[in-house]
Formats: sequence, C-alpha cells, structure tokens
Amino acid sequence: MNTGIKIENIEKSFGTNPVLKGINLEVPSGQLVSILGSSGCGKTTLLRIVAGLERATSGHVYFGDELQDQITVEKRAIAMVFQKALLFPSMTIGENVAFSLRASKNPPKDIEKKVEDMLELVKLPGFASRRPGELSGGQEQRVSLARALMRNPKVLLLDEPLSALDANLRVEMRNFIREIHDSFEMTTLFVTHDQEEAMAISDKIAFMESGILEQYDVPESFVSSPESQKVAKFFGCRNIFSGIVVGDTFETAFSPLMLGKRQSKGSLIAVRQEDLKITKEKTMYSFEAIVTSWQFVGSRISIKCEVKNTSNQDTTEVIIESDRFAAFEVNEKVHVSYDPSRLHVISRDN
Amino acid sequence: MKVIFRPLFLGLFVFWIFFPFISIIIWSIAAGWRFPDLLPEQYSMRGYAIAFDPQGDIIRGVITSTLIALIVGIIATAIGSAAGRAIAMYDFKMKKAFQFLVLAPLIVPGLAVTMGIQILFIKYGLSDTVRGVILAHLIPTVPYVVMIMSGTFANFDRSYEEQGQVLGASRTTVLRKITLPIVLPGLAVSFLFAFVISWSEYILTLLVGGAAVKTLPMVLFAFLRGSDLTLVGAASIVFMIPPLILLRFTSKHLVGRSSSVTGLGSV
Repeated sequence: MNTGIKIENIEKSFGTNPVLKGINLEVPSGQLVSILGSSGCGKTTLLRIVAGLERATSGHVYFGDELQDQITVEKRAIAMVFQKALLFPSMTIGENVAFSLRASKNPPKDIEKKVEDMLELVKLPGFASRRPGELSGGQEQRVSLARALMRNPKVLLLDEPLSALDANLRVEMRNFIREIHDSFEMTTLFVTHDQEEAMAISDKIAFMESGILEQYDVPESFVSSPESQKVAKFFGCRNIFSGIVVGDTFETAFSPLMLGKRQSKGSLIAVRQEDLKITKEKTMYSFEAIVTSWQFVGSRISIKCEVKNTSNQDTTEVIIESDRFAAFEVNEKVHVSYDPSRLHVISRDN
Repeated sequence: MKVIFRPLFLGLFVFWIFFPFISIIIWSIAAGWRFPDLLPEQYSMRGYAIAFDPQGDIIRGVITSTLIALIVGIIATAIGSAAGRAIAMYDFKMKKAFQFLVLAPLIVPGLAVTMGIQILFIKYGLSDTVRGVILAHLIPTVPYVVMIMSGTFANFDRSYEEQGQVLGASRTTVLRKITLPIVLPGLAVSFLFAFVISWSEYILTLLVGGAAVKTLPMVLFAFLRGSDLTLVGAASIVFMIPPLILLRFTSKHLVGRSSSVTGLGSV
C-alpha cells in the first residue's frame, strides 16, 4: 500500500502572521525525510498540520491517495513522538506502551505480550512495571517511540525527539530511529534543527526558512550544491562570494575562479572552507592570500585569510578549514588552492 | 535567643489554633462547668447521646448537610473546572470581564446576591427546597474552584492531550485516561473547598431554605440560642468530623510536591 505523504500548497497564518507560505512536498512511501530549519521557520507547524493537530489556512495533505483534511487526529494512520517524551504520569511504562491498543475499540487480548515484545525492540525489556519518573531521558524517549510504534502507524511523525538529550545519546538514538524506521513499513517525517542529525539519517531533507521550503533534496546536495545562500549558510559554508559567470569562470572581486562543470547562471558562488587548501607554491587553481588569524575548531583549524580585490582597494575574507598540521605563519603570504569541481554557483540568491 | 523564641512562638501558635477546640471538647463532656473552675466538676456523655440519637435533629442535620455539600462539591468542581480551564488555557474575547464575573461573588457579599435572587427562587419554586439551597451554595463555592482549577490548568501541559490524540484516543478517552488523572490533585482540593464552604454555610441556607431545609449549621444555631453548652459542644464536635475526614484524604494535595499542581504552591 502506498503510504507516501503529499503536502499540497499548504499555507498557515496565526492571526495576521503567515508561518507557512505555500509548502509543496512529496515524501515517497517508506522514506525517512527530515524537515530541517532554524527555530520559528514553521517546521513544527507543518508537522502538526500533517498530524491533524493544526488546521491549515489553505492547502491539502494526502496519505497515499487519501485526502486527510477532514479526518480527525485520532483517526489518521499516524503516530507522533514529541520533543518531550510525555509519558502519562499516572500509568506504568507498560500501560503507557499499551495506551493505543487499549484506546482502540477492539483491544487485542495479548496486550501484555505485545508490550513486552515492543519494550524488547526498544531495548528496555522488563521495564513494563516501572513508573515514568524512574527512567533517564533517553529511556523515556525510547518508551515514547515504543508507544507510538505500538499503533502500527503508516506515517510516523517525530517532532525534535532528540533535542532534550545529551550529545552522545543523540547520536545513539538517531541511529536507533533509522533502524526502527527500516524495520517497520512506514513513512517517517522527522523534524529537527540539527543539520548533522538530518544528514545522518535521512533519505531526503526538506530545508525550510521563514515558512518557505528552500530546498528538498538528498543530504549530499545540501553540501555540494545548495540552491540558495540561506541553504549554503545553514549547512556551514563560510565562503560565499558574489560575482558573475563568464564562460567557464566565475569572476569574483579578487580573482576569477575556474568552474569545473557546467553551472547555471547566478551571482553567488559557494566555496566550502574544507575544499580550500593552503599551499606554499602557486598551483593551477589557486589565488594569493595573507593569513590574518587562525583558531581550533574541534580537532581541525580554521584559518582566516585576506585576499586583495583586483576591482577595488578592499579585501575579501576567505576561510579555510585545514588539518592542524598546516604549515603557515600569521601575516604570511600563501596560496589558496581549490578544486574547480567543488565550486558551486548558487542559482537563487533570495 | 533564636533557640528560645522559635519553640515559644510555635507553642503559642499551636495553642492559639487549638485552644478553642480544647474548650469545645471539654464542654462536650462536661456535666456542669461553673466559673471560676478550671475544669468541670463532673463529666457525662449526655451531649453525645443526644447528638448521635438517630431520630434527633443533629443526625438529620448531618445527613442533610452531607447530601447538600456532596452535591454542591460535585457541581461546583465540574463548573469551576471548566471555567478554570478556559481562563488558564484559552484566549477569548472579553476574557477579563469573564474572569471578573466568575470571581465577583468572592468580593460581592453572597448575602446581597441571595437577597437579589430570592424573588427569582420563589418564582421558580426553588425557595424552601434542597435544590434551591444547592443552587445558592454554588454562589460562594464556584469562584474558589475556578481559582484553584485555573492554577491547576496553568501548570498543565496540553501536549499530554495531544499525545493521547495522536495515539488514536478519542476526546472522551483523553479526558478520562489522561487529563483527569493529571489534574486530580486540583480536583480533590477544589472538592474539599466547595464541600467545606457548603457544609459551613448558614446565612444562605437560612434565606433560601427557610425552616424547611435543616442543615447542621441551622440546628447548631438553634442549640446556641438555648443555653445547653454541653449539647452545643457535642454538636460542634460532630460538625467538625466530616470536613476532617475529607481533609485526611485530600491533605497530601494541599502541601508538598503536588501543591503546585493545585495552584497553591510554586512550580
């Protein structure tokens, strides 16, 4: 059965404040898609509209071919996990997990067995009789996931379920979510503000900004070929230069940069800092710069350089990320080399 | 100095609270207690024998008062909870005016309101009836419930209800299985307040119920007008028992961790 999600021209306003501006998104059946964006971009509102918790001002939501607009929350084939685990405090863990079964009109007879199997799946065997307050944050979120899966949903909606957990646990849990998604036949929408999380587990990413879907693509594209300046910046690109495409080159204020592949027209170019290298000698694709400062970024170093503009008296700042053994001195004149195939002309500059 | 003053003040405070009770307890078992004796010369259980006489006014008053207070407690808690939730969780037009109207009976004397509605009560045949007394008792009780429940719902995370809905539960199931257990401390305290206020109400009962509805405070006042203080003492003790029993079961919600849920403590 096709359980893909189709979001068609969704608009949503709170009072006079528009939060979603014509969102169109198709999630193929069985895929895990992340809705990524900074706080307030409208990603959670979109998820709540898909769940039926919020009514869109206009537009439609389909699961497969079935229009969902008139279907109430409890009748949609969904399950949702929120940012907080929201385990019902008056119930044991087992009762929490069994909630959807007991809430249904025809509760199955072997509820306890199903609960135990589900708890085993989320690696919490024997926890059925415990109370919510006795669990750690990670364990609570596992129970919340088990409770959602118990409904056997066609569509699983996850609203930043990992944001309250510490860094190590987040990595463990995100992999776990991917495993769970793969072992169930369902389509998953995963809302997050963490690009690393989205890149790690998604089949595709829908990046949103100010209520607009900026780019919807496979994770790699957001790094190699961002469609807009906002996307490039969000995914950590530190070097975005303006200029024009002239033949096979992109003319910037400081140097023409050779383009390695046929690129679309645009007035901005994204050059990722890890794709630049500092060399002592001039290479086929390089430009001259002066090192102004550097600092550690994790186990690597970020080097700030100044490049003299050819078109005016100003300078352009270039950031290079390198391993920590790069040989240079501050104020030293160096060459910054690049790989033309890694440069990307941004087609939309917003 | 601190070491001396703390127990001294505590002792004085406890004495101030409990002295009237001690006096009532002694009166209830005194066979005769004349001034300037510190304690009665003789003791007797005569007061309790009359108080617990199944055919007596006191037991009948207890039954009537219990029935009225229980019904008032349930209705006030239901109405006040809905209003409290609306105030705490929703924005709507004229919210401030609604809040003021709901809480007005706390400021406007209930007596004045009752004087006003008495004509209406007579017109609709509610005067001198238990139904009329119950309605009148809702005037001073509902505002307290609204205050407590708006505090409770202000601390209530609505996401729990949404979580229930996305797990396939109907609104009724969500209310029964999720919301009610979470706000139960608030409901218990609301019921306690409404019960105790209704249980102790005299003036409103007198005006609406007249001589037809004899609640325990009415009986107690009748005894007070006589001069049998032993009977008054025993009746007063009986008067205190039901609220104390109720307090026993709800006290855990008045203090400690769950007090924040009832809006009486800090979160």
